Amino acid sequence: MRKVYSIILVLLFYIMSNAQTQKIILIGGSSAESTNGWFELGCDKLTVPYTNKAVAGESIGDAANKMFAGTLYTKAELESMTALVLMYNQNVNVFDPSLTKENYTDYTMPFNSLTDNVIAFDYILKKYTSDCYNLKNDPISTSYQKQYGKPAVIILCTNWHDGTAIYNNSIRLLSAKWGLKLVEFDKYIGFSSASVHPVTKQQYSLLYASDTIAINGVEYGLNPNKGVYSFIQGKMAKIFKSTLESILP
Amino acid sequence: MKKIIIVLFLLITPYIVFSQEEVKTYTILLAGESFAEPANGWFEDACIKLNATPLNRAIGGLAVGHTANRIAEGSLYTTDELEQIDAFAIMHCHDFDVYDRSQIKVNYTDYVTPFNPWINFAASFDYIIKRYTSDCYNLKFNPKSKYYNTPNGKPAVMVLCTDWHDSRELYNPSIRRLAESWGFPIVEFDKNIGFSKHQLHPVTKLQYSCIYAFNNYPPDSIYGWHPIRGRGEYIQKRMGAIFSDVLSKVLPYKFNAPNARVLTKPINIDFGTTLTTNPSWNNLSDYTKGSISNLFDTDGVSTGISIVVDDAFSGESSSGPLATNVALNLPSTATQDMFFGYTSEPTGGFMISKLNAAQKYKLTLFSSRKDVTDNREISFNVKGINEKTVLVNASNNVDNVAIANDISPTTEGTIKIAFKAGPSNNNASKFFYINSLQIASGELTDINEETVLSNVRMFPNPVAEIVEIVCNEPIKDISIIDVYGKPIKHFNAINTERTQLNVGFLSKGIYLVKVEDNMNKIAYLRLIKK
Repeated sequence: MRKVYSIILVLLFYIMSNAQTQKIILIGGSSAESTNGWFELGCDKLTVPYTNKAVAGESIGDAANKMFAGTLYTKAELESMTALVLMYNQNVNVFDPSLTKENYTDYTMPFNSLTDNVIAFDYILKKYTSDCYNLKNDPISTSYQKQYGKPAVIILCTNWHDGTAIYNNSIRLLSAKWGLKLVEFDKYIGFSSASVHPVTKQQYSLLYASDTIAINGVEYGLNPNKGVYSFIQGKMAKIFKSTLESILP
Repeated sequence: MKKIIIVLFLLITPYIVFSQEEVKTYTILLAGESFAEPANGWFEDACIKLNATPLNRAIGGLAVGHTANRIAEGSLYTTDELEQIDAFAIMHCHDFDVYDRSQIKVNYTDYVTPFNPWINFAASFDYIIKRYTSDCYNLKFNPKSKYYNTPNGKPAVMVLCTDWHDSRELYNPSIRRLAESWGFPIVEFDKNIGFSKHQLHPVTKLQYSCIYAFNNYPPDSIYGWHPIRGRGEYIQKRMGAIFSDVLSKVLPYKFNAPNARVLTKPINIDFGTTLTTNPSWNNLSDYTKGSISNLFDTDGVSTGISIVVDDAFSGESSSGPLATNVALNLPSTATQDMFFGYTSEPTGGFMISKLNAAQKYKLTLFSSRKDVTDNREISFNVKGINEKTVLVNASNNVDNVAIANDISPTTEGTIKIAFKAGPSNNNASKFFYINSLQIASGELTDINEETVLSNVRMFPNPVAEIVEIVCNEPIKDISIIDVYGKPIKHFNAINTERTQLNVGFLSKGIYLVKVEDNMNKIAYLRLIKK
């Protein structure tokens, strides 16, 4: 009888915890996928459960197309999501109000995953916010009949260094326009593209990168060295954690 | 009580993933003058909060030029301290322009030292930054350093500080510009101290800084000069809080390198200058002294294992085939380029380090030179505790690899690989080639369907004390192995299909349980000890 009681207690615990679990979900490309480690380590330090949905090689357009197809997150995941974090690092402009439409439903889908960066960001912000708000009309949602539905917490990220000026500048503008929290990896990473390394005479980011990218004829690190044992992932995890702990309820 | 423990365990389980190997202590070096010297106390207070060892080298009355001169003469930090320092903070607040580009030289070695401490403010800052960064980087060449043979030495983390309040109109803006130009975080005491020169104190009608200072400089100055000293003083505690807040964002999470972790996925290495950009591949291009300090496995995850060319090859070439029939699924970029040796350098080799001494390894070499007909056999010698030599003819080779299996590293975790022309090599110049290499776990990768024991069940898992293991076949032996491959406990001569083991003696953590039956079939199970 005691065993049965224990099993029931554990089952009850799981049911309750699943119903109440809050999760941070990350979407992004190669510098965000789970083999990096900064997101997992940061969430671990925040003691917040997480799911990393970033996929190497995917762009914001790919994520928007998944969202349109209903495969980016499930309804249960939407219900349990504390925050949606977006981390992309292609050096492209993601802010141009002249390209965006009033409603996410106004866009013609699917997006071109290589070129539709501005509108894909806009689509994701508007659709996620709408999905959250509309939970107020869902009788099985914990946000049912709440005035604001589910609060939509979206967090944007700069690239891990400041060499990608087009992207970093435009994600700051997007963040400012929407009032979204921005994880400023570039500001706190500890080096700048304005100064080369005193010994190598090359960009600092190359010291901590597993591959490279040329921007305006200058070679920069593309993806940071992977694994939580690498210095740069430990640094990114710290920046991510300290940013999120300032906003998580 | 048990229920409470179960619930507590379930609650904490998701959060203990990274806790085992984390290093939670830091060392912070501070250079500065009277605002920073130990009698103040803010730095020491902050270090307690940060769990850091303070190396406070600030001395009252010194300018930044003095600190530059101390670095130049090697008296600011020792080599051992350099090895330990996690961040270097500078608080030299004399009210001068520290960003003056007209003083700057390309290399720290271009400066003439000693500096005149009361003139060369910008040059001294530049010297300190470049010298410290270079000292960190150059640890890669120091055989006694833990950063030896790493690609980029020690990461240099530097932090600059404003004055403690906002009255210094030359220093504060210029230190901000300097920090921005290097991407260094800045401790903004002036911004966070809680008052501003723009608002007088409502009662005293004086500058706020005066009520927290024990003197003014010059004596008729309207501003406070030195903050009241002592670790119990409000202003020191406030400065400590500001400093620790910034440093808590700056200091990275640290983990002991996974030197001795069990390798579960293979490591692929491409030799030559045509890079394999697939993230599951490592590239080694320098055939004379190239090295990779932290090889990635095929999942792109750091292994901590390193490789270094310890016997130079003759050169590098792109005369390999673009396609092969070998089972390693080699991309063309990994097969077409190679290191080679011949009579000018009749031998070549690598040292692989930071291997798990308790694990056996399987090393697979692909060696090929296209469009030749003579015999270009290579001798592939692999030596750890045991030694194997394997031969393969590289001449137009697209079908064969050389495999050295079950190699145990030395107790220091190293394996030495030596190449030379094989005995059947009849090329006049004795050419030999190294196109790509795979390092894998010998034991785990050798498991095939014939040797896998299936239908083994283990419960409960996580377990506190008694775990039950059930198999369809009689179990012969069971071993418990830690995540570093170290055998912890062996249970032999079990000869039953169901057995119970008391694992209460194990520390909390994750273990591998190796189950072997009488037919020598093996199963590995993951056990969580709570």
